[in-house]
Amino acid sequence: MSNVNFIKKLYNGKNCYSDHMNRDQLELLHIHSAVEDIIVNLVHKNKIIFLTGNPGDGKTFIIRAIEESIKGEGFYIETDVNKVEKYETIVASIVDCFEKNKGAIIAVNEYPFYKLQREIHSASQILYDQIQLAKNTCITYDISDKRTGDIIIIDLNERNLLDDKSNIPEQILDKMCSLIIQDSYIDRNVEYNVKALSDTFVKSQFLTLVKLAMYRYEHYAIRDILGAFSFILTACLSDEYKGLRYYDAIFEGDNPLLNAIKQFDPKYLSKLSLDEELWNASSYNDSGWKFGIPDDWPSLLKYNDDPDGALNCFISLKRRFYFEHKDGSELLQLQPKEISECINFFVNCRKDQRALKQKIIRALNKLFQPSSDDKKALYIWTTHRYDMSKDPLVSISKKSIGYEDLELLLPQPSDWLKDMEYIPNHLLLRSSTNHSVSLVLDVDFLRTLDAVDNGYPPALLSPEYEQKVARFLQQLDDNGLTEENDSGEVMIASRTRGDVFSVYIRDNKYSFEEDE
Amino acid sequence: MATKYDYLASLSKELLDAKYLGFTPTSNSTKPPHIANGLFRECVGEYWDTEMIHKWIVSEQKDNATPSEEIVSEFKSILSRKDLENINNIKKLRFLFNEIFNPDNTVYPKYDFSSYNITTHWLIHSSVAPEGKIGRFIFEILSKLIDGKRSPAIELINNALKEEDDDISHLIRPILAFPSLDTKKHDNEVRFPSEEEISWDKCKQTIRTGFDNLARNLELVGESKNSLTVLERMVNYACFSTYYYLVQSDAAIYNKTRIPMVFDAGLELESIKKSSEKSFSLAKNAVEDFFIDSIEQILTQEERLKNTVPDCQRFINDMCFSTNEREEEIKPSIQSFFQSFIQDDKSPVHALARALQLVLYTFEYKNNSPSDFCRVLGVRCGLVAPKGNRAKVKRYLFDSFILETLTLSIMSEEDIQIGIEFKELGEKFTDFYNILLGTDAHKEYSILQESNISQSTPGDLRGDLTINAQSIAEMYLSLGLGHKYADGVTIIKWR
Repeated sequence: MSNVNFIKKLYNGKNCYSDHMNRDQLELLHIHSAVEDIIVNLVHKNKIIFLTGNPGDGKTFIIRAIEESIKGEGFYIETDVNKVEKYETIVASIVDCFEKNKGAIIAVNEYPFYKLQREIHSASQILYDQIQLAKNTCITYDISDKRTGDIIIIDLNERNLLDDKSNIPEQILDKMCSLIIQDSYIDRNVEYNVKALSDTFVKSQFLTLVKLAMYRYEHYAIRDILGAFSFILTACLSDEYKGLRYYDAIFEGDNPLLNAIKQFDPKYLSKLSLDEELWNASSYNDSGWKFGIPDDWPSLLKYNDDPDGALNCFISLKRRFYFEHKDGSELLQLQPKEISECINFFVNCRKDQRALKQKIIRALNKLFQPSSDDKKALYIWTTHRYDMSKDPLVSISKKSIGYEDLELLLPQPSDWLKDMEYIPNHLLLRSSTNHSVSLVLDVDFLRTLDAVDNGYPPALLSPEYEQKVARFLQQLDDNGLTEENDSGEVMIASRTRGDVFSVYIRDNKYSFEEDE
Repeated sequence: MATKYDYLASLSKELLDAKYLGFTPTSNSTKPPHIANGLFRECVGEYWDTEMIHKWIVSEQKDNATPSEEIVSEFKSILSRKDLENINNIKKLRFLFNEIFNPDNTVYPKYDFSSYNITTHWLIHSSVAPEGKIGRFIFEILSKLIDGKRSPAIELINNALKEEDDDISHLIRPILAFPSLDTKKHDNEVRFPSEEEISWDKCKQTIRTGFDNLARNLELVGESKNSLTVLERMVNYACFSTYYYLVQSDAAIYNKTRIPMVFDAGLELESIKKSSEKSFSLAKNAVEDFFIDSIEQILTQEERLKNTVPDCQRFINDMCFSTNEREEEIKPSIQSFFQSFIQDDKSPVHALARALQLVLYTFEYKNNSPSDFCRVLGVRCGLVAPKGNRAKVKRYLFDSFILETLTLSIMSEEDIQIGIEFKELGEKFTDFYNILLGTDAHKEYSILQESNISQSTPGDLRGDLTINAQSIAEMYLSLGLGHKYADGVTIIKWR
């Protein structure tokens, strides 16, 4: 099989699973991941390693890649628990390793891992407890404990290969391009794609889009990345997309990563003067194009009676402009503001945690009391009803927790896992004294809070946000982490009118003023 | 003067007694706060004098309400500015008290008829008619000794009611403590029924298991720390239990087919919508069947009644009514219904039972038949929707709160700790309550076939059941109660 055909089959095909590849093919695609070193190191310390994640995350790939380094050491290796129907033998082997302090690597998908744990629960409570402990400590919010237990869980769902420091997308792209040019015959369009994507500027424009997709903070399996890049380079060889070049293919495929990138398609970015010039071919037909002036323009005579054709030509031209024109990066500045704001949440959490925490507290207060501007204390709001067909009319608060008693944290891999490719995808707001009381703020939630803080009416939000926050507030209160409001204040907020009325209860007497 | 014997009234009383139904589902005034009031009073064995709270809550716009000026004068000792307090503050506070403690309009100008949105034992009122003895009915189920123990739900409710300083109860403490808390409590002692008094069947066993699971699981998931949540969950499940007993007791006691409840996730799938509507409609029919079967059982105990048409006609002729007007109105109706039912009924006594059920619904339960009660209670506990009188055709569209409550009522300790596969949870829902989520389309389709629902449902019901299940799984995920794996399996686990 030619290299280009091998790469072509990586898009949504069987080839994206390593158990369908031979050793040479594995070598062709092998991009070193820090996880490999972590596993080799830990298994030599006789740890039992559960390598888990979603299908296509690269578990088998990793084990096959490290086979040579662990050969002949007598470790128990299970490359695929997923196909096993009864777990008794595997559980017995794992328990044996645990009791005899023997190293083991078990690759298992998330759900079979859940089932395996249930079996282990019946076989060995101590082992089960250690697994639970390991699960809860691989990603941490604190200063990591360098010590590890006998059980290690490496969840590839937590690995993000698009992270800045590992540069894996660029490595994969370069590797694919270099494999294709080794072929004796190369299709004209594939050759064009390889030439363009090997160019520093085009590659940088492309990797910027990949990075924007990363800021959706979703998990992409290695299969998704390989599949996406395969499609971009080789879609032109398929019957369905015959002749489609990379700048269009990026936005036409169907794959989790490509679907995320689609949202940043230059066709959505509009700068009137540029659009006019591209449509009329007025000033961009002479200079600035890296690979020569395009020969298809929407203003050509052939499109006079074909408005759809003209529009498609314009879209393709605009995409090409983004990648191949020296001014293409101008379009990047037109990407929506909320993307950069969301990035700021994560950047600012490290730089100015206090200000960000106060902003989040103010937004959480506004969910219940839109007129609130308080960022120094998070109020505990309570409602009570028995008739589920009616929404509560009022929320009541007599307690709060000070912002200094809450901490806002970024997740990070545990110390022993710190080299794993990782991007935090949420923030954690929790009590400083009782760490079990916490609120996970994912990207979607953070964007929503940002909107509420900027005046978006909470009544228009899906009720799940309020439910999540109400549950967190309730837990804070149930665990005795709150304090009564000053001067015995009880706030009653109308959920229909949006106003707040305060009554002060001191010595069993009502007052309507803060101080007597 | 003694009230004259009335056959229909007497029959109704017998049917609603503990031997048959055990509560009175014949008032459209019964609301969840009434069920709460009845159940809580039975559990703690006390009620309180809440007349002063009542004065504050009843809006000034209502007849016989106390004007705010009088409130200031009467309660000046609990106002920091005494009788100089700004009247508008009092008016505003009273308005808000009404919204907090009377959100369901269960506080009437007449104190004796009122119930509150109870947050603590202080607010438990003496018995009011709309309670319909439901509190006692539930309490008896909780009191049954199983393995020598009563339900842990009783203790959980009691502990929650003892909490007096939650955010809401705290608001009314000054009024309750005025002039003294001690004088306001009425102790009644908890009246546990003897084991002989409790009639027991499969349906009650299911309800009891649900309460026991709910109580244990509230502890396990930590919700028992919050008294208000405990009270809300228990009342929510008590309302569901009442509904469930009404619609399933015919199956439990008279060995009929259990009525399925098709939970529509709200995707507007026509086949699911129709089958859910149909299953709700069958539930209402099942209530009528329970009355027919119970009446038939009562009739067969009548020595003078043989299962022949002339005997039944003679029995109708011999019926006594409290007034001539009633006799003139009701007797011909019974005869007319009997004549028409006997045409297609092999058993004359069964035809007579059907005729009597119909006249009961027409003349005794004029305001609200037990079947209508199901609809109203179903909506109020978050089981049935769309709400509002305009939506005549209703179906099972669960509110997220009742979905959580019911899930907690069927999950085992291990399910809570380790999680349960969504498909397995669906099986539990079917086994426990005959609630169909769509997790096993093949089995559920057969259940719907057996109930004659699938035959009258348009579209691809089998396929839509699976789509419906996926949407319910998404509901669990959005509530933070699950995790979906890449291979499509969803595990339901508590937060």
